[in-house]
Amino acid sequence: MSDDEVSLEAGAGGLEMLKLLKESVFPSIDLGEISPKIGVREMDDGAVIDLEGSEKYLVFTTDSHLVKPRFFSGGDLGKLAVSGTINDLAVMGAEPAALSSAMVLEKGFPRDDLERISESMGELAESAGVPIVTGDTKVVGEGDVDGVMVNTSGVGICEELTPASGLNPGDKIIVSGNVGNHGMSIVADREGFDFDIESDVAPIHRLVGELKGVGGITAMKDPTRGGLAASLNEMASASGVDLEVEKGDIPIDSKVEGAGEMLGIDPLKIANEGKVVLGVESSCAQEALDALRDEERGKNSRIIGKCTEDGEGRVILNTEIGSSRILKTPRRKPIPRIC
Amino acid sequence: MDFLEYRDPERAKEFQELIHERTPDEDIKIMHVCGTHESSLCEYGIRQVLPDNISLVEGPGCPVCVTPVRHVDEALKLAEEEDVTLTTFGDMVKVSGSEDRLSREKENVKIVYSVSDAVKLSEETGDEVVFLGVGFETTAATYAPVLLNEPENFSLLGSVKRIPPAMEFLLEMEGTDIDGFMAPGHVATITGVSPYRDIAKRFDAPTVVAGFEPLDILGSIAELLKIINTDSRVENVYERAVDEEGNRMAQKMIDKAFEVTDAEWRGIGTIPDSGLEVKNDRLDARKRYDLELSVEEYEEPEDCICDQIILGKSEPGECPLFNSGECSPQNPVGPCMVGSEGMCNVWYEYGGRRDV
Amino acid sequence: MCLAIPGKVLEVEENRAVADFKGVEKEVRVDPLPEDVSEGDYILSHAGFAISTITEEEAEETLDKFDEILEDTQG
Repeated sequence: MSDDEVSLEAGAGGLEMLKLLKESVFPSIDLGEISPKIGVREMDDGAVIDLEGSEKYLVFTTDSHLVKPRFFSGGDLGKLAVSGTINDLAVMGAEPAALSSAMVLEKGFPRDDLERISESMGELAESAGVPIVTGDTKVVGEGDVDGVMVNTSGVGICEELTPASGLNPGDKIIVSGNVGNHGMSIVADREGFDFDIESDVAPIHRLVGELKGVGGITAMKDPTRGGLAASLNEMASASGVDLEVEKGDIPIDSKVEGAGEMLGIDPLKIANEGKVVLGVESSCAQEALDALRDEERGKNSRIIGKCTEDGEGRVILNTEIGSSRILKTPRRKPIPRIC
Repeated sequence: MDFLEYRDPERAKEFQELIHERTPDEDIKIMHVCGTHESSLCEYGIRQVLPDNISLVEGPGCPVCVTPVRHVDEALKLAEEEDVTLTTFGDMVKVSGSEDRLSREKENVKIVYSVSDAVKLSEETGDEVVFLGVGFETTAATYAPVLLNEPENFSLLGSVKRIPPAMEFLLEMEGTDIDGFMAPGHVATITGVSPYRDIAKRFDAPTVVAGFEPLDILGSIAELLKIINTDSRVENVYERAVDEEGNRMAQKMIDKAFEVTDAEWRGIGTIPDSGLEVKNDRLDARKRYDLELSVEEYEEPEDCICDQIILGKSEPGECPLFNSGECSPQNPVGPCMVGSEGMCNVWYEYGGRRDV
Repeated sequence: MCLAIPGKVLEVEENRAVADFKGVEKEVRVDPLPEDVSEGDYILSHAGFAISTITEEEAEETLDKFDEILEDTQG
């Protein structure tokens, strides 16, 4: 593939995407003088904009969704879109206020599917208390988009930011529950396995809200694409710290482990859509953990590690047998292997 | 299934101490020949807990890495020119042929978990299905029953190899300086221990048959050090899955479905009697589709030292392309970086031998 | 190159068995096995095929073997 064209790999969110953005996009849109507090350059879950005359911030995020299969065990594209955007706002520290939904539909897309997706979106928005207030709809010719693409954007108000870059040495790292479920359910559905593993897709803004009372939360991310491994690495390098994480303390469903061992896919490196990973000041860690565990969606929360010192963003994994190794950001999409 | 997990930190520590006790002063080189062993070594940080003078190298055990480039070209040709669905294990996806990559984005390329899924696909759709069959004896044991059932519109594009001849080849070669072998436990479930006894005797090569759990590996290394110090023989430390004679049924099926031939290993060259070729012409994709028998023309770039690495003579850190970043998992140049269990790929991902 | 994991057989029918892998159920071909398997046996599965069986005794003996190695004062 020549460098003149955008490659498919560049969409996978890794180094190729970064290269594409840095070379072809950021130079034009990252306008130094009118940059917000947290913007495009930081590549965090959302952007943070100062509100003049207030000590609060506006948080703004956007995402486009093309997941296939569109209907999977535990959810669908609509649920994913709404939940994902609410969660991006929540992990920045914002109270989600409203969403937009823009759809590009392919001519011939089944009305039934459209209605199912819309229903999912509406139901979830209502139960989450975050309305979809504006949107857009386009229909394009056959082949001009693959079925449907949904973009959801969201805004929220924030008093205390919890950006990915907020970790400090000494902070403890907490994950709000079992990891790998969403990623594994998608692989299972895509490859035709009947694993009885459900996606964990769910909005976690209320769960995060419980933490506000505790205080001491320094950084948060929702570990979506690339899983826990990607988020830990992003937080570590954005914050300029090294992390140490205990493999034995990371909560994973036995079925997800079994499926992972069978297929050669690592539960730490695949997406979650209803989880939070956070950094908290050591003195507040137990209270934060208790607050999460009190909630249904946080009942399996665990303290999984800590920030050791200022560093380049290395994530060290202590194994079950007492040795250590490096946990890097995954580069591959999860595909079943025999080797 | 907890009782089948061997990850207890107490015993792990005791094995580490025993290993340190048994390690002599001079440098020891242990070779394994299994991508899955490499995976376990990295996942559990095993090299990190070994004494500095033990080097544990990966020989030619990553099936993706040793697949000749032209086999990928053949697969691509079938997918593009013939009206077939090309099925493959996920491991081979993204591997480059001489001009193009095997990619699931291509219309008639499908990833399957098992060769039986590929046959099912041919039965359900009625389409012609070809399966890119890489792997060693373990995987040959899955191909054989399928081939012996003589499916209608299905064929195998074979790239199947045998491990014991490769081990012999390495031991016959000068300069590899291997002090002991960690034999691949799952290949051994099929072949049994006896082929390794033959080799150990002829070449004076201490060998342990090792499983894949961390205690299996640590225990095997401890045992290997004992027999390196005393006498060369073979110890089976994976008795729960491997016995002396191996899996006779699987061996019989493999004998019936395949014949032993010479085979080409990327990065090494031809190793005699190291390949398995499909006996039934109708089920051999090369014969079925009249693929021209070509010679491997592809040459690795000049600075690539994979041929040294795959023989355990050099480490990734000694490769100019590795060090400059020209060769990386995103842009693999040579075979050691191509497979996700290739020595260079793993070194890149996990940060080197013990550098934590 | 040989990812294989142990699973507990739940049911068998001719050359196919359904096995439980840590709670995940999957069909496995049992053609390559030298003996018939029954419900309750453990098989080692590679790419959808059983390549070996593992009895509970054998699993326990592994631990015995480890302890043997650890207690061995030779070498």
